[in-house]
Amino acid sequence: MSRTAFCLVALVLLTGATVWIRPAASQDAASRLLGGVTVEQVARHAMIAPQIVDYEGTKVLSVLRGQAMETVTVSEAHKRPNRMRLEFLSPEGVAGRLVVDDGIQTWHYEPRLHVVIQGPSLRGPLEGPFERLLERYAISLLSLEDVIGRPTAVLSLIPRQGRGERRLWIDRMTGVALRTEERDPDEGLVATTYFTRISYGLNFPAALFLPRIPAGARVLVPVELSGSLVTVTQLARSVGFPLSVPATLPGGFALMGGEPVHGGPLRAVYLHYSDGARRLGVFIAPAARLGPPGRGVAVPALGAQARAMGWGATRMLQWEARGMRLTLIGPLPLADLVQIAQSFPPR
Amino acid sequence: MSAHRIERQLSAYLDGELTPEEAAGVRAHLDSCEPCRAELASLRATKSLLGRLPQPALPAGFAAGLWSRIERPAPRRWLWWPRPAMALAAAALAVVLVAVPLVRGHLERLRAAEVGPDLFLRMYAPAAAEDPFTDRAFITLVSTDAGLRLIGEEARGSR
Repeated sequence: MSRTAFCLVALVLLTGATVWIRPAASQDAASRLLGGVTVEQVARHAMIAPQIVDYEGTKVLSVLRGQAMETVTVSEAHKRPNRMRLEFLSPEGVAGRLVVDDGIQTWHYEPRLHVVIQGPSLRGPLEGPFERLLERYAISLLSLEDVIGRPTAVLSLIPRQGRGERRLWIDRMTGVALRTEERDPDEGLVATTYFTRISYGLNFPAALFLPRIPAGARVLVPVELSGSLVTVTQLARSVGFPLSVPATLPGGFALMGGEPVHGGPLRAVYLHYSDGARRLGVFIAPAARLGPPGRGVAVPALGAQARAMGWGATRMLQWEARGMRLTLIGPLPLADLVQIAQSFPPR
Repeated sequence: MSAHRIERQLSAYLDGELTPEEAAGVRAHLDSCEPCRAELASLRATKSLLGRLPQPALPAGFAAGLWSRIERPAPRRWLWWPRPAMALAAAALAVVLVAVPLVRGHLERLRAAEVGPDLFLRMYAPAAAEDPFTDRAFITLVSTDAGLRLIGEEARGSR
């Protein structure tokens, strides 16, 4: 072997070793900081915490809407595995709003209108395949901090193939996320949540999570969800128009299922994708049945009628292509949604 | 001149309705024809009897009723409409029949566009809430705002 070839091989081996050793060293350091517990174990603990911990606290949500951050304060009670009660405290526009979720249905009482809106449960995280999350996200320990007097591990989740970052302050004793941050690569910090106080292990009465319809209140059910269908072919047959799906998706998103949407004159199809930690919704409807969006900011790259809206990290993009009105919803940067939109194949 | 033709002219001869030449011809024939003279006498006797019959009186109000019926406008039938009016009415009906579904479809489309994002958000929320580390309070806030707009109420504005 010549000297040049030897040097080249040595360089490759050294580089490989460095790449392999550095995370290992980093993981060892994190494990030492966490007292022998790995970052993955902390993340797994956080994933299963809702199934095993009861808590009640006051939470502050700050969400970027348009050009301004909107702050909402809510009293949140959680009873394992998936019952929830939310009482919105401020601002004035939402104060008094009460949401009770028994794990099957959600009842939303709006006092200023004296109506109850019934809907499907937002029952929260299910313990899914943790390995899939590890495959698709780089999870690292940023630091150890105290939040409202409780020790937390600050974890960073970054999609391996995508962009954006989620930071979680995980209560080291209970696994509950006491603080969260959503960071957009283009817009920076777009959403934060944090508890200003929290109490654990309370013996909540079951009645706290049962709906109490106030006397005289109207009960409305604006959306009836039909059962989920699995294949795109089944869906196309059920709605009677051809479907196209995005050719490329960032960050290892995979199709999880779909269902038809029936809302008044609107007929659409809902396909949902997941990368293990984020959900991407794709809605497809004939443009003849769904007019151009009236809200949102223009997205010239996708035509004159394309519009985008946002709630923190969650964004909606609507555009028209080949006679179909398409809508994407997900916690992805707008540039990534535009890239997905452009990957829809011609019919 | 034949006897049959003279017979047909006798009544007119008696009433003085023939031309002088025709009347002279009839008179010449009567001088030579006994049956025609007998026929003329019979006709004259009949006309004399009819002339002596009394004239029946008309019922009271007959003339007024007759004139009112003459002067009353006849009832119009739709078929008597002037043709341009019929064509205009048919065209208007056709426009209405075509325009109503079009306008209705357009309004439904706009309504669907108005509520579409909120409907989609409501459908998206349950699946998003199942993802690990999703904040349920946040996703509930977004979903409840969408629910309010779906029932036609203002939530808190949107981006």
